[in-house]
Amino acid sequence: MIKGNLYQLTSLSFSDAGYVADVTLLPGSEIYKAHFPCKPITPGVCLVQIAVEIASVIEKRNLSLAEAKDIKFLSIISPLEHKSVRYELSRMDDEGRWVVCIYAGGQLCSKMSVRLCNV
Amino acid sequence: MTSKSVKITDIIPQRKPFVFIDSLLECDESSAETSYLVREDSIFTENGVFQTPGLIENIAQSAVAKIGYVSKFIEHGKVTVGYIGNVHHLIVNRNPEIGETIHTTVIFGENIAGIQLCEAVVRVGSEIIAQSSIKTAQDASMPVDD
Repeated sequence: MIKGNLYQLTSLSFSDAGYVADVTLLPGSEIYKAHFPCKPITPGVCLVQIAVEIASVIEKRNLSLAEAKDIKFLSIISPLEHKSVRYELSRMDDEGRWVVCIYAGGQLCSKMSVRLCNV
Repeated sequence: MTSKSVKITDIIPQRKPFVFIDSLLECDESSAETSYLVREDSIFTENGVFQTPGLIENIAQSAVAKIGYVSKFIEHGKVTVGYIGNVHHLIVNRNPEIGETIHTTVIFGENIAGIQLCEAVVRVGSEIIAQSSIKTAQDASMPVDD
């Protein structure tokens, strides 16, 4: 779990459109010092891990990423420019398929279509 | 070309604790093979297993290691920061456990406008545990200092 290390979950709500979660990135994280020493950039795989951790909170059980049909990273997220990141998560079926969109500064930064399973 | 003696942080821009390959075992014009021992203290190790985002990063760093090796030791240039642009058709059969060594083979496909397509297979011994396509992009404006 990278919650508490790389980010904090600041809010989670549910509407007709799905779940909306706001996370606050922690620029002092050791991950940012390593990725990269010349400029802190949120690792794409950490954006994926955060999605899995938020879905685990929603489902109240530990989930793991079993498959990814497609994960797109459209623009980078620097914690120096955008500390607050919004996740929109939609559960597509009862077989663990989710579509997740990630926004920073109102701009779509990543979109993923994944299947999560029980740990 | 084989490259067993290369220090990994000489050819990839990531630093510990965000390094998820130990060695570049083989490397030629169109492929690379790396190894990584799953450790308890890794950021992506949880409940005794290496989580899937760690596997994706392992695949990406395997591709970046080949690119960095060519930049540094063949072309005598600089290692640059690289990003994952896309992960496609990732299938994880199982997540490797602490103490297991994964071997990742990356086959390089087409490169269009600086976007490199790769096909990757992750094995433990002869068992295939994960497969994926991945696209990476290098940012030449961000060279990594030695």
